[in-house]
Amino acid sequence: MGVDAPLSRRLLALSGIDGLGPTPEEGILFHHMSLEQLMHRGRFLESRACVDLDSIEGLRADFTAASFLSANLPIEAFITRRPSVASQISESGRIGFLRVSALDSTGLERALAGHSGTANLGTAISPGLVLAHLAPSIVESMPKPVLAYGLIRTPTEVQAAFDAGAAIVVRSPYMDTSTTPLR
Amino acid sequence: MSQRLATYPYCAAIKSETDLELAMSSRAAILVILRGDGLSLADPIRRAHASGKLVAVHLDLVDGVGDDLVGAHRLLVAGADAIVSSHSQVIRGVKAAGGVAIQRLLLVDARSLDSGLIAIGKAMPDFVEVLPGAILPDLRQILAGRLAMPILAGGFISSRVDAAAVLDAGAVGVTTSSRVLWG
Repeated sequence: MGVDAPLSRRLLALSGIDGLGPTPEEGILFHHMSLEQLMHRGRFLESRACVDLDSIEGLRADFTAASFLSANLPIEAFITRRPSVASQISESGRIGFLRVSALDSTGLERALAGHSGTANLGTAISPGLVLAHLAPSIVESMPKPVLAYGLIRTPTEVQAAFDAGAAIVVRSPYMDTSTTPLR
Repeated sequence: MSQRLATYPYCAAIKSETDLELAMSSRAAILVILRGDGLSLADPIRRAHASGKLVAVHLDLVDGVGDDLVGAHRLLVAGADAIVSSHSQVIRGVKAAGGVAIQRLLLVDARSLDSGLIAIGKAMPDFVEVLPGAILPDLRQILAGRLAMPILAGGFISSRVDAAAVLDAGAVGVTTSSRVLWG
């Protein structure tokens, strides 16, 4: 594969229907596509990418699937809602993120309680847009690194997520007016 | 419910008996029960009514009662003024039974936003509860024109500044577990 670049701090979320491409400083998060589409697009990657494992059609969201993707594509990091899979991924030396929904304080507290705290296992907060609205103490309590994932569209929102404590921010092309062609 | 919210736009999110007692002596005119034995709510609802409050019950979160139409009917018979649910079939059934139907819109990511709006368009609830409510100002333009029902915002709204921003973004009410906002 010849890809030696580390995982980017800024990721563009690409689904099976998106025709947009990342800006020069962005890496890619693949989500909501078929395994076939992922294998096709992944062949053209110029930097290490991330995959939302739960959203790939044709793929069981388990450690076997993650291992397969790592072996065949330059996929460095994985996001999943399944705590056991997330732990296995991080224990294997890859970057894992346990995805938790931050819809209200009680739900977030419960979700974070299910985080194993395994080394290399970070936290993917959805929607990422809410991160800037959380008390700093809440963000501080999240297992690091924190990845902000969901509903972030503009450069201002991206920066707000970084300022709130995210190490990686996923930008969604949802209603994006960018005309960057797909590479 | 709309008249009550116009007078004081804060709904008390009830998670304990202590919350219930405090809320009944607060300015909040609407109580939203999020926890507890859903099969034994007749007495708490009666006491809330005696205090001049309206009561909404979250069908998906309370224990014991099924999160289906039969469960919803049981709660209406027990005196609930409104039912909160994520399920379109329940929403339609509550409306048909003469209750107030509040459907949740969970803003996890772009896909859940889109699918949620489609479901709401089909079920036509009386109110929509948006979670996390704190990001409503950020999504104001996206939601404008796509939500015809009055909006309640809940989740990570813990100060009057947060609440003011959400109300200014178009919400008619705020659901909060922050007792200081109950008045």
